[in-house]
Amino acid sequence: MKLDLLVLGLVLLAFSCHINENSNEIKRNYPFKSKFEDTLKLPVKPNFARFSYFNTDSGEWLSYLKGKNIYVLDLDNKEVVDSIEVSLDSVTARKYGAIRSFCFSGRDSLFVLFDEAILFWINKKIHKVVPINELDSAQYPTFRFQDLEDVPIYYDRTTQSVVGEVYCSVCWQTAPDFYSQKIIGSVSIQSGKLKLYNISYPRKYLKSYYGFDMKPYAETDDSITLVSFPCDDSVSVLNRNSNSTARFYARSLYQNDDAQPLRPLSDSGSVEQKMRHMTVQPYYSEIRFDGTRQLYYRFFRKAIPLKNKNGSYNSFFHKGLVLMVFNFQHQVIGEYELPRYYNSYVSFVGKSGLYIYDVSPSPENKNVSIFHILTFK
Amino acid sequence: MRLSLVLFVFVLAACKGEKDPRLLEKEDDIKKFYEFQLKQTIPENEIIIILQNQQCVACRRDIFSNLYKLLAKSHLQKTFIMAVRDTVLINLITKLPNSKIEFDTGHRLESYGLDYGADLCLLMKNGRVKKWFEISNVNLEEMHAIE
Repeated sequence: MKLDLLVLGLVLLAFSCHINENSNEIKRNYPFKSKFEDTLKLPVKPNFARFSYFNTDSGEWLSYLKGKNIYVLDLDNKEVVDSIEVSLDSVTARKYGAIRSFCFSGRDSLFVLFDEAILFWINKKIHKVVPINELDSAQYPTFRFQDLEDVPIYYDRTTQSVVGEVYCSVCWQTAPDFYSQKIIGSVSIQSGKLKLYNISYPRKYLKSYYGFDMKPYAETDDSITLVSFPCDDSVSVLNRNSNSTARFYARSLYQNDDAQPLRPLSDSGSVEQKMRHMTVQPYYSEIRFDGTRQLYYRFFRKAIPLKNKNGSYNSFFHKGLVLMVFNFQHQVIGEYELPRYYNSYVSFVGKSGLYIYDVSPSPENKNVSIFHILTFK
Repeated sequence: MRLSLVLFVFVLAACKGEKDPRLLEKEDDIKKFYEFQLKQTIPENEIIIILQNQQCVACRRDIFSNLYKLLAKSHLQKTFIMAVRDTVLINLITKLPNSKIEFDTGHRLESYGLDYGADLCLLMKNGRVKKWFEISNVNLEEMHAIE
């Protein structure tokens, strides 16, 4: 009997070693040559809650909202070179609400998404106001055009429209209706006409409720909008020209188990339970598009236990951060664990590579912003 | 047969005495926070209010105003645990009878499972957590008193 158990143990041990060896092999087989890393130190320290990167023939710019202004920072010379006042008088501000997102198209053209309107500035003057949502209820009867955080607006020069997030404003987030609606739309700056695209949540969101792990992350460039969902192994690619969506498999090697729904459903009313669920489940966040190098970047946050062995609790911030890199054939060509002080929310693709903001509480970083620039060759 | 009956009675008694596991967990968490962070024993009879989500005090003015009205009705001692020294809130709290403030500027509530984005209210009775809830307008609307 003892011998049988010993043999069984040895077999199991050998089997587990075999699995480990295989998974290492998969990692080693990535066709990557190297990952290079550089840092950029900027002499300002905004909170980057609302920011936008853009480039022109004359350089690269990082813009951010601070107080009543949007500041433009020259990434080459590392200095703030411009600011645009975007505050409205009190009556108009009440009418249009708060700023949710903004983007540039060249140095002179600025588009700002408010709760109830899109405002278009040319050379620091308001050129056009496009009412949306409650101010155009005929076009927006059951949904809203708004950046809920991770789907920043983008100006499409070809169609002269602003692309952004759409969500059902009359649906419960616990009900399938919310997830069967379209999630990306564009608003024509000339006519104000809204167009909805054929993209909605993956099927798993219609079957079960995932709490806070439901908000889409998106990035738009030219005619493509990439959308990543926290609990979905795949990435959706919307081609806005053909109004069609394709999906590619993009599961991280660091994801051991499938994301689980929030249960019981009665926990949907508890912020605490939803935050705890968000902490323990595997979670995909930002997606980035690198046209120059023909790469996609997807950030993944590992599943962790709610409590550590010493009894202390973990939060979302403690989740291990992983960067996945894909080529344009949608193959994973690298996965890298990143320090947890790398803030993927404040990340963007510039000419030098993928920029990621460092939020480490080091005293040296008190008045400066540090970005890590990752390049893959 | 007799043994089965005895066992059944034991199981029934155990089930009846069992508390909500989330309530027990919260009790354990707040006790540890008091013991290891505040270096105090947990109050016997008191209302503990944890105000951690202070990024947007203006957004939560209505909620706090409703909570304040409920707290004012209670004669129990109230302890507010705050992550940020917000002068507007501090001025309001100091006007509330039988109240005091503890600060968690080091954000240690998080390690004790007491900071997951929601403000919390815990009612202590005889050194145990009798009930707790997340402070939201929905929860407060249904209440006429904290106790």
